[in-house]
Amino acid sequence: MEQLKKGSRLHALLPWIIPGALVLAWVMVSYTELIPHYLLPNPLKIIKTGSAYVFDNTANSPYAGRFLSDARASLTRVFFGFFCATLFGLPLGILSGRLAVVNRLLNTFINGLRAVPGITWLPLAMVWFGIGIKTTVFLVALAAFFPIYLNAAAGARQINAQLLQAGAMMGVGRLRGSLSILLPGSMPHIMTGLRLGLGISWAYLVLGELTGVPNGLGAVIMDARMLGRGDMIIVGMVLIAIVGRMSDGLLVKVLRGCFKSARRMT
Amino acid sequence: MKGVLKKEMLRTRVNPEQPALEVVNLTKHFEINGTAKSVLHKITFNAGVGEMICITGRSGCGKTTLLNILAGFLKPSAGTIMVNSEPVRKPGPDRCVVFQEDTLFPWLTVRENIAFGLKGRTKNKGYLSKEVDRFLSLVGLREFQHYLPREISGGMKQRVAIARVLILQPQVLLMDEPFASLDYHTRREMQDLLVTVWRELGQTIIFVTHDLDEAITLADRIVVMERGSGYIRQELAVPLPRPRKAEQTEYLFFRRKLYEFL
Repeated sequence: MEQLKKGSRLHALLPWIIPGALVLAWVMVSYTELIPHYLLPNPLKIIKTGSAYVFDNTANSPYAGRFLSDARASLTRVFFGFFCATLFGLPLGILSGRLAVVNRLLNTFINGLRAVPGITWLPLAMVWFGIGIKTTVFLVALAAFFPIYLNAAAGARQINAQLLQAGAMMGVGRLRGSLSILLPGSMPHIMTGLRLGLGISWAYLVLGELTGVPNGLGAVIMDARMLGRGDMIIVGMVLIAIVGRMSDGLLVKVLRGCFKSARRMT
Repeated sequence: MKGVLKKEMLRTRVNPEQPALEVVNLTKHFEINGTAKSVLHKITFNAGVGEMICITGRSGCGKTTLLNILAGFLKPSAGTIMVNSEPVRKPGPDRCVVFQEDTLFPWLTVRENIAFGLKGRTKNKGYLSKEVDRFLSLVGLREFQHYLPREISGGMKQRVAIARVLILQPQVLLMDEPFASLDYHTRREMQDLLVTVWRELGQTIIFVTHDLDEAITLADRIVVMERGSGYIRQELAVPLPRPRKAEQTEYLFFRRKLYEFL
């Protein structure tokens, strides 16, 4: 790759050219009404709707001030789903990466399950769990399980065997070896898996919330669609992106806070 | 030569009469494409308490396989290994290993790496910390105790690798070409360090090397393995005082002799 001088004005400007141009074009299109507002709302309108949704608590509009309660509902669902996925995915992944028996037992089954597109679970989940938190948590957990499991398995498989030998010759037993050699040794992969899993959790959260639950960031989007509020749909999309990005940052912080290996190897 | 021998006897806890490690008729073959390939053939030798034995031979003679079996990482096809008259079955802290490559835990600092093994054995934090300090000083790494393995040189890494096992006070220390990937000067430094530490602690050491000079510099006894057939060709006692210098006539004598065997 041809090198770009760091710190130069061009270097700072370059990433913003395309988004800037797109927003500019959007503003122009919307002022000239080349595309009707109900298809592509005015950016200013979006900012207003967004700020009312987040900050306004006067109940001036149907969405005013709902952000906190929606975000709380969504975060709860993501948290439980992601937690379940981690609870199963991490230990099973590590076991299957280390033990041929477990790998043989699980691999076919899990890969078969993985071949079923996550979305197709929605109807069955609704039959099983009805509409509400359980369906969403189920979908999130199912979807987040695979990247967590697969990456934990890869991490445990690729660990330098001599590190385990070193532990064995120093008299380290199975349990301590797993916790203080295998787990930290696989940490870079585990972390990748958890981050991918959390990312996918947000995608499936929206899917789960499209089914008619009353609150949640995904529910707001679906609700806004029915009321023809394109501006609110976009506000919801942007907020999900922001909250998702923040949760990823938080996950990394927590892992780095809890594990030396996460701090020092990634 | 006589004076030399006497001085050597004075030095210590070396007691070849009392074996720390006994290897009897050790045999190993691997299955490769359905045919058994013999790697070690009826290897028999002893190492006395506090003795430094170098195992040498050209590549492919099975010396690393032998060490892996002694460590318990590989099972022998036949034969026995006894450490302090107890048979060896699996890896354990009575036979610690210093590997050729860097096998420090990359997520632990120098200090934490050295503490790792002992931490599993003692709940006494004061004792642990004192022991770690002692071994940090012994290998000269006090200033580097909070560095991570990736931040220190290859020579320093091997110092940590030595300290983290010596702290466990193993009966036998197994070293698999531990200095082979270091540059000439670092290697010499590490050999001196090893001799100093060994004299202080009096461990029994089995040191695998393909470097004849290293073997003569370190060993009380050199075991020469035959290439390709996996048996012991010769055992050679090296009763020279330490530190040994490559210019000494006796040193050159042993060098020539060893060269003939290979």
